[in-house]
Amino acid sequence: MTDSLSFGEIEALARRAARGAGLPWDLADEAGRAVRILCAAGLDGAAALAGLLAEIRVRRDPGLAPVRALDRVWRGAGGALCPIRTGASLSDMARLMPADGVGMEGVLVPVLILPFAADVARMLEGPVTLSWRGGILSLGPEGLPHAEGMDKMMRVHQTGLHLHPGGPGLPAAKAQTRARPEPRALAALEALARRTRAPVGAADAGD
Amino acid sequence: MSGAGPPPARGLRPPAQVMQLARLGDMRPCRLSFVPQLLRRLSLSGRGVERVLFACDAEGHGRAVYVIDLGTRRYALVAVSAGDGIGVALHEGVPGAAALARLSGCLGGPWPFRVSETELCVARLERDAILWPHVVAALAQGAQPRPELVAQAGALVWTGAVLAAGKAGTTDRDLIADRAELHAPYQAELLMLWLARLLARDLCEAMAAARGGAGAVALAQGPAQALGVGLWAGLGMAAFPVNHPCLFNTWMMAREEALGRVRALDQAQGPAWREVAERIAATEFEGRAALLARMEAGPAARAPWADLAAWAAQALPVAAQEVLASAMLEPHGALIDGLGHCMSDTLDRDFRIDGALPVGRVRALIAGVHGWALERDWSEVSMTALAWSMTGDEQDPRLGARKGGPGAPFELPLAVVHDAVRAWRVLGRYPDETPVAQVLLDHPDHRRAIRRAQIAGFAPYAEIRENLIDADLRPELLIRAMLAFLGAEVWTGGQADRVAARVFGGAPCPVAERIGG
Repeated sequence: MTDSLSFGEIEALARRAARGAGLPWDLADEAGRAVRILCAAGLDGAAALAGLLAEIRVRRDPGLAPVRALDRVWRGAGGALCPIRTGASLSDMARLMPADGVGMEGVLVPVLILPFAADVARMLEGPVTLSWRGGILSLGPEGLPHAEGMDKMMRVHQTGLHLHPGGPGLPAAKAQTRARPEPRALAALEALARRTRAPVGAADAGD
Repeated sequence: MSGAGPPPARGLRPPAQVMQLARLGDMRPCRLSFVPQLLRRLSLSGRGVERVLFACDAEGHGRAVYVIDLGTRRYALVAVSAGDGIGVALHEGVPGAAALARLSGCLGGPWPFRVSETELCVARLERDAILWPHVVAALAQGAQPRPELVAQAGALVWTGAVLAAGKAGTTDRDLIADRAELHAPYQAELLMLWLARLLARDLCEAMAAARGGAGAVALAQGPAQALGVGLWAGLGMAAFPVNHPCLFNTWMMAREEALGRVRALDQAQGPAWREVAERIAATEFEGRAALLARMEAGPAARAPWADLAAWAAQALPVAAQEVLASAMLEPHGALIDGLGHCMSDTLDRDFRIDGALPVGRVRALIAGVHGWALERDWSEVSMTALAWSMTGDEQDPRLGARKGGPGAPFELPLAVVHDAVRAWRVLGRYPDETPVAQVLLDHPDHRRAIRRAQIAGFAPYAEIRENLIDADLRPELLIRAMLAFLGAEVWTGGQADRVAARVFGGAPCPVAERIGG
């Protein structure tokens, strides 16, 4: 019976796991939403997030975000970019997106950028194209497509990316009705999520 | 409120007045509440309930399935009664043998149950410890339960939580929200409880028959109709409007728009005026005598409802004003019921921050909503005395003292006003024309506050004007506001973090048509 999760469950779990891994709730919200959107498109967003959170914990690098929002190429201070922070910035910047797009260097677990790229397409009401060494993917404004490029991106650990408005814009895929995360990723997220729960008895001191 | 259409409402009450927690906590159910919306749909559909399976022993333990046809779709209540608990689920369509076997297993197991995408919601009901055995004993002896016990208990069954919208494995709200019968909030959850109310009566009657044999009688329509379903509402319900500002805005907006339309009426029909007076006379509250005396004089010649509301705003306590507001809506279904369709919203998830907005504009948005809080001294311990957190496997959050509490890593982000003030201060370090996207890059921990500020820019009733971590916070007021929208009557509200309420008291309680089992 636990072979599938509702999108609400996977989103709540991903959100709590991100918080448990040390992200503020503000970014945990973004992580949860991104995982939900990937799962609805048939990609294992839970596995992607579990991979990212493990990586972030190893790096312990506060500089995983672009430094200047208005730069044409985004770089993190340490050479790597977190896809949640970078993706959130992409979405924030949608209305300021230059015609020739924006570059992003060394994005970790880049598949997690996809939901935010889809946000940009939705807000611009037109397709956007995401390219990287080894692949190119054009998203329409209606949501994530089902494309080989997405499965390919799922296997990429870190890459430079470029996003620009325009392109053919693949039609949105028919959404799944359930999330089917890989059990190991699920267990990893559950372990992190438990860290957001106060131990029984701890809150009583304050009652 | 696009799509609501004319006639135009008369000036809506300002959010700074309406969104005070004290006033929200005094709101009463009205005809836009979700229980009345469901009952109107059920009475319109005119279709009965079929009891397709009912197998229980002398203790009332066993299984049952009740099916209701809502026009385009059928839904089934699947129930397993064991011990003092009754596990219930609302299943999509009529369950087949495999689904019934699966649900029998999980609904009889430990709470929370875990179900599948063919279920819309689940709950665990408990028998009322006093009323249930009394009803069974009375019916077994061929008598009806004592009216004073019925009135005191209010319900045969009680539930602590109904899990739906993806929780406990149920189907996601997105997948069903476009169905007309489920579009308004909480319709599946309430439909399940409404069917469970029929089940509770049938179980009592079956137990009485097993005990009393030929001498046993059925529960009369009077007490059956008087009894509702009890709800224990906790802090999870208190947090809901805070966590869903866009949705809560649509609820408030619909209600305020409805009030505005009634106030805009040029004349009051005599029967409508009398109906409102009768409703008010039947409700207990401070200021009732003055309000009734005023209404006794009859409606003013022009804009009588606006005149009455304006007088009440000056002369009566807030609670009385809100009783009048809800009562005023009752006779005006044709004018306002369409607003019930405007009480759903997906922007809580879908709204994206506009990072191009300049810092100065975001600061102005925060000041517009939380200006009162910018003046306050936030170094005062009492201003940040409380913290919300989740503990262990509990489903409801806890609210406790920050000092000596579980600590920052466990705190839930419900300190909305404090967070807004902090964001406002950080924004103040940037030139006004800076795109807020840059601030968000530098300070990702202010995303939520900046997002809420932008939401408040288009959703005027999204934010409650109250510091939710203040030492003097009364969280039960948040619960009461939720219960008013749900359409539940407060039963006993003695505790700060839990309110007992009930739904469907006084609503029709039809007898299910018995088919097979």
